[in-house]
This record gives sequence, C-alpha cells and structure tokens, in this order.
Amino acid sequence: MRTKIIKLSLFLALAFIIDSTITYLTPYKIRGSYEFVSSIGILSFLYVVNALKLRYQYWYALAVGFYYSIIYANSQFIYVWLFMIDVFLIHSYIKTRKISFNESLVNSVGLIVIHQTIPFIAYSLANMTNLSVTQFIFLRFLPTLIGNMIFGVIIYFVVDQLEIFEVEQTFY
Amino acid sequence: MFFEVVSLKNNTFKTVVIGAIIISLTVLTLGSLSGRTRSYFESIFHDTVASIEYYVVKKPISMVTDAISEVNAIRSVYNENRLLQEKLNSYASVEANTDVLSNELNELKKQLNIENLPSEYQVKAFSLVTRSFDKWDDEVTINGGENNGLTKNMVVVNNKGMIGVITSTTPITSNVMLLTSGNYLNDIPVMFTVEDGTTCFGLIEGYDDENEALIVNVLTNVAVIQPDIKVYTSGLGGEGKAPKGIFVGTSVKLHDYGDNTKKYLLVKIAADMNDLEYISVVQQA
Repeated sequence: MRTKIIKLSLFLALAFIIDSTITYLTPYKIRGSYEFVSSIGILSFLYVVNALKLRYQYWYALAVGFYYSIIYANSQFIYVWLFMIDVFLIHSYIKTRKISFNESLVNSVGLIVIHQTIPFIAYSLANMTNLSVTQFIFLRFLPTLIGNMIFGVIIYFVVDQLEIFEVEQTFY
Repeated sequence: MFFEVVSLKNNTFKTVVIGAIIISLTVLTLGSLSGRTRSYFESIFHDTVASIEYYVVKKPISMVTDAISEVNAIRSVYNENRLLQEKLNSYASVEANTDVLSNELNELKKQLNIENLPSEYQVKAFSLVTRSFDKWDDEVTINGGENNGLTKNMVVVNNKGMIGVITSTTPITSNVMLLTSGNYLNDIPVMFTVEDGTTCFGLIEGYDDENEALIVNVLTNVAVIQPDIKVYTSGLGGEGKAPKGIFVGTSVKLHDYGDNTKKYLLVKIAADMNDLEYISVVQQA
C-alpha cells in the first residue's frame, strides 16, 4: 500500500506542477478580462483519493491540503478544509469504487465549484479580493469550470489506462 | 509511518488527535484569512519546492518557448535594424548633450556638497518565481531576498515602469505587492507636471477596478489635469523607499469627492502587468 500511496502522490504532484506551469506560461491575464485557473491537480485528487483505502482518505486529504496551501495558495489554509470536503463529496456521490464517466463529470463540477466559490466567499468576507460577485461568476468561475471540464474528460481517460488507480478492495 | 496513525484502535486517543487537528486547522485558517504571514518553516518548504519546480520544470520549458519566439523575432530584426540606423544619425548629438549635462550636474553636486540626488538609484534584475492562482493581480514572489540586499518597501519595476513594492522578504525570495492589488503597506508618493508647468504631488491610495487605473489623491491645489500627463514617484516617502523619478503611468481623469475638498486622479499603469517574467528591484543610491 505504501508503494501505491507514493506512486499516487507522485501522480498528484505532477498534476499540481502541470497546473503551476500552465499558469506560469500563460501570464496574459488582464484584470477585467476572462481568467482561467487550471485545476488538473484538484481533478486528479478525485481519482487518487478514490484509489486509496477508506481509512487513509481523510488523512491523505489533510496532507495534500497542507502541501497545496503552502506551495500554491500562499499559505491560505482554507484549502486544507476544501480537500477534506472533497473527500466527503466523493463519498456522498460515488457509490462504487470504479468511477463511471458520469460520476467523474458530476464530481469534477463539484470539486471546481468548491475550490472556486468557498475561497471567494471567504476572501470577500475577509476583504481580500477586489472581484465583485458578477465579475467572479462571469470572468473567473465559468471560464474555469468550462476549461477544467475539458481537462476532466482527458484525466478520466488517462486514469482509466493506469494500473495504480485500480481499486484493491470494495468499501461501499 | 504517518498513515499508520490512522489505524490506531484506541478511540480516545484518536478523538484527541482529530480534535487537536481540527482546532489547529481552524486557528491556522482564520489566521491566514486575517493577514498572517508565512512562518519560517512554511517559507523554507515553499521556497524549496518552488525553486525546484522553477529550475527543473518551468525554466527549461520557458527556455524552449523563448528560443522559439527568438527565432521568430530574428525575422523582424532586419527591418528594425534599418530603422535604428536612421535614428543613429541623431544619437551622436544626444550623447554629446547628455555628457555636457552630466558634467554640469556633477559640478553642481560638488559645489552644493550633495552626494546623491533623490532621483539617483540602481537596479538589480530578478526573475519571477511564483504568481499565486488566487492572488494573480495582488502579489508575486521573486528569486531575490535578504541575501541580495532586498528589504521591505523597495520599489519593483519592469522595462516599462513601476509594478509594485516589496512587502516581505526571506533570505532567498521576496513577496511583491502589485500596484493592481490596491493594498499597499504605505501610500506611495508621486509627482507630475501639468501643462502650465506646475509640479503637483499626490499619493497612490488604491486601485479602481472599474476604470482599471490607480487612484492618486492629489495633494496640490490644481483645477485641471490634462490626460496623458506622465506620473513619476516623487521620492518623498523617506529613506529606503521609492526614489524620485520612477515612471508610474499616465493620467486619465481628475475626479473630486463631491465637496471639492479632496481630488483624486486616475492613473493608467505604464507597466504591462501581464508580462512580469523579468523584473528589477530599485535601490536608492
């Protein structure tokens, strides 16, 4: 199991690096224009956590949340909670350990909604963002959701080909 | 070993551990939302991973993309070179004029016993290490820190003008609060000269999202400010802060707060805030 966790973690780290590199290479975001936040890492987390044994999942989300918060989110620890909520969402919707295409779509939408809206609400309350609700929805949330749905489909088919995502036991 | 903890059979111990984690996490989350800065451990961890990512992944990829764009750029070099040769004819007289003015300036400085003028500064070039997803318009991290002599409040520029101010430093990196964030540690003093020759002073107080322009509180009593007037830092912020003469942007429109007691000028930022790969930190001479 330890080898499997290491392999899955490397896969997830690679996904986060791809996100970070996409952001780094596409710096042409203008304030007041459309903004896309690549979320391959967050979408991959769905499959990674599903491939783990149930008792590890929340602990794994905790570790990933801290890693993501410190490295990619300027130590905003709200993301730790979000990864925990992701696990809860995955549990509440996915009823079999083999994720179907429809389940992956619904969960991907859920993950993007959680990772975009909750930080926006928190940052708005803490007066840490200049975006209005309308600007957020039309300029950031919708482009991010639509763009990541395309990534979500690609990830589904990539994960389907990889051995490390095969589930060893049934828990549901 | 971390994952072995979860398999503990002792429920009381497990409850205590989970409770402690939830409380710590809540404190950390609330702290980060109320402006808490990174701890030493977080900085080390972040800098290490970000540097590895930068030098192992991002830098090689950007080298390849840069090489491709350089090949494309070479195609236009011939035409540019021809234009430059035309301009070169007038360069000799400009150079001579500059030499004369520099000598006069040095003479005047000697006579007045002035070591450095507020407008004298030097720049050090750095690269961007990270630009956070969620604070794209607010802050960036650069690959220079205390070891490079960088300190809080130093001005950061790119090739077109000012982009922001350093807000915190670690030994090898610095956080730069961008002008577009509107959240500055201190108001930034600026100056500009209107058409009738009056030099006006002001303070950058924030950023207007709607008009995509800086909000400059105008301190000098002036009735009209024409558009496209160049706005520079005034160097009046004190030692270690913005020196005089850093180009900030151009004026857009003068507004008042309705009661004529306070006026503010909207200033379009000169720097391209979307292209911040190579930036420089300004250090007063």
